[in-house]
Amino acid sequence: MSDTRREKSSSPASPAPRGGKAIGRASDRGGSVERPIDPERAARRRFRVDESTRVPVLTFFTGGAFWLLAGSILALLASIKLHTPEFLDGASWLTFGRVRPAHLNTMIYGWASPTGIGVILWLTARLAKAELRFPRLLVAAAVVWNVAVLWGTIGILRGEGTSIEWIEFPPYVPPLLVLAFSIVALSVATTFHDRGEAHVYVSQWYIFGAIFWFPWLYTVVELLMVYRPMAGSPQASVNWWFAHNVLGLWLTPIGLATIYYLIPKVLGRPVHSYYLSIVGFWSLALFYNWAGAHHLIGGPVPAWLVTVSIVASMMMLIPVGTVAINHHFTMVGRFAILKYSPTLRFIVFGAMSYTAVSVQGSFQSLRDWNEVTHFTHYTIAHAHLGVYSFFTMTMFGALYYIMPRLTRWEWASARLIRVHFWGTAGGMAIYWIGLTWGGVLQGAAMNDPKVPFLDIVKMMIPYLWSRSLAGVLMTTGHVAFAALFTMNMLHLGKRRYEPTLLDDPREYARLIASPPAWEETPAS
Amino acid sequence: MSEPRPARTSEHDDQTEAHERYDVQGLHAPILRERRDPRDGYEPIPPWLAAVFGALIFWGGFYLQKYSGDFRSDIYDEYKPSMLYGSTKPAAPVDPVALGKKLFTGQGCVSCHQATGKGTPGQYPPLAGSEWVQGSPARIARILLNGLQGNIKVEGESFNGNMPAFGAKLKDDQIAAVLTYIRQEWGNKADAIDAATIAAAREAEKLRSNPWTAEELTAITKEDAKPAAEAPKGDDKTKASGDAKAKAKGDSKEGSGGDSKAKASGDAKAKTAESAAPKSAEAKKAGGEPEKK
Repeated sequence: MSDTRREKSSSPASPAPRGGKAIGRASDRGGSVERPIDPERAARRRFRVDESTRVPVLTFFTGGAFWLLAGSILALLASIKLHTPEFLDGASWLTFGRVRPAHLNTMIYGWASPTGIGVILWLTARLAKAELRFPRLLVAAAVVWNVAVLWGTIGILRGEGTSIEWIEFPPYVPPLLVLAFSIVALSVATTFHDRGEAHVYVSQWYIFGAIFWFPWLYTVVELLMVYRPMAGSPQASVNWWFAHNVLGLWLTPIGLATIYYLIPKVLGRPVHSYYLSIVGFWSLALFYNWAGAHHLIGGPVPAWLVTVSIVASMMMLIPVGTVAINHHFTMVGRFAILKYSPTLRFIVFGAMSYTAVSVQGSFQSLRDWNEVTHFTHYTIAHAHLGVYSFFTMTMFGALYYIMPRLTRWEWASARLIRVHFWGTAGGMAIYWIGLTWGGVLQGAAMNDPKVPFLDIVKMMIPYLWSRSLAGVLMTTGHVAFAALFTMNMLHLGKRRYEPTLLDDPREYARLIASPPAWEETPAS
Repeated sequence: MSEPRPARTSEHDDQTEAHERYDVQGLHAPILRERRDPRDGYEPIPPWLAAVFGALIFWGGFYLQKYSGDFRSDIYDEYKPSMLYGSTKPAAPVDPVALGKKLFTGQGCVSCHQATGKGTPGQYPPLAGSEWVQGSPARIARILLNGLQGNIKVEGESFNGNMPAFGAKLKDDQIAAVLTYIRQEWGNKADAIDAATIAAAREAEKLRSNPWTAEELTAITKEDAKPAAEAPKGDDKTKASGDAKAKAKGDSKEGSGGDSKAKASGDAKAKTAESAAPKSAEAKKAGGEPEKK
């Protein structure tokens, strides 16, 4: 399909598709204001900027890769225990009630956040066209962060967790995370302040939002839930507000900043519309924070609180719709590149998942659907579609792009990248389909008072097995990724002088060299 | 890496002196082969998209109106649209005796006056059978509001101690509930006291900060006049929760409930009970849910 589109658009006789025409117009206009760029000078500056981010970013990434593996193993344990409860039930620290929160916290605070921070740091320096500030302090922050996560995970496994979902780390851990994060925020803010680029690109908006939203969310929830706990049902509202918005106002902006940078970067093409970017960013900032209480439908909270949350969730269709259109029309006509570029393949997978998970999320917040699906495996599938399929895949894409620039070593093996992609993408697909379908059946059965509860438990077993299977596939992908990561860090394998592509590099070169007719030729 | 450097590096790109060791050919390939940095296109927002978003916002307003329960903190059931409110049953009202019992224990009354209400002989006066407790509401209200100090004679026995003040700690309806409880427990048989009585006493003595003495209290012979606007519609409707209480309730209806009912039917038919409620948060609290008669 993409081939026909390419043919069509490269032939001057046939009119370009609608999106194509639009981009043609845009480039006319964009081209007139831009100065010519000296590629050599630009490369030298990129090198200097990248050099300043090298050590801190790689430190954050290394911690992330370690916790990705640790979190995968914990996830597998938790998943297997759901259908085979007697599996490894000998020790208290291996019980489901500890393994599952340990999985969640290592993934969020061990893998997702530090990797996201690494990407933020690199992007900030790149976008500011300035060297990263406080690199040594940042390395210390990375160490403190990872020690805190290790300490917290051990604490959870020892049974010292707070038992509040998403913030299970025992009370001695959060101050360390806050300390480490303030260094990150300081560095991002000062690097931005010293920027050598007048225009502030859309990725930078999201990054700036994220570095202020995350400390706000995290300190508020820790204060109100752990250090000065409130009484009663307000706890539930605060807990869900955090659990929902740590994805929405911390991970999502990082993911979107990455996508907004890397799609145009890999394609060498402008983002479709600055105006859509504006609408997307500000509507996200406006609406996301209201959501969260829709998890409490039917709960002991005032009806208006829940209703406001549902409306805000539906309003999220505005940022999601604009971002989806913006990304799609940036990609349009170039989908064939997904066959070759590992970065773009992961990034576009993440971007599409963002649209999917957000649209799904908006509609499942509606009362009628929520009452069936909320307390079932369906919600788990949804959460993984967000944190895994969108955020984690986007981060993989970013790592495939950033790492060779920092380590000065190409990825060792295209085959391992393929294992990584198909393991994670295939695993995620099985995971989502199995648990979504199972969750709907489970919810329908639970709402039927005539069905005995034990029958529902038994009915779920095949779906839980599908989850474990998916977990094995994803973990395989992660092991392949960890192997690639290690080889890249240690410069193992054959020295390559060309990018590691997933398919014939000559085809790729031809593809890159023949942009659609309506597209300007890349300047460099 | 962390040394200070010119703030606007892009203007000084050609300052290669410091970076001469990085010959362009020596730069690693990924950086050289990179394509240009992302930039913005300027396509307009499609009109149909604006229309879709407009419709979405319109829907949001409709949904908010329909399921917000009038943005009230005491409406939990979103399926109860506000226009139907007049015809639905209110939540069960708070039973002042139960609330009073809880406060009696929770606020520490019990540690001196004891769960039996008999007090501690020679130290803390009894409440069971006490003429003070079952006597004038104005006096007993003042004791709770400002405390009591010095000699007092209860059931023929003299006590000399300190009763702490609860005026700052408890709200009117809470004090009323404690008083109602001790006036009807342990064989005591006196009227319930409503929040308006406490509010009136509080208003009358708002300048006072020191505890009362028995003499001062004895000098008070008049009950406080309840402010008309504050008259609650609620607290006498404890759903019959015990024979003795039911009887007391009947009495109190004569006392306080009667006039408030007359007033309620005077200015508006109870159909709009909830519109009357915001007038006085105190009154609403005192009665739990505003009731329709």
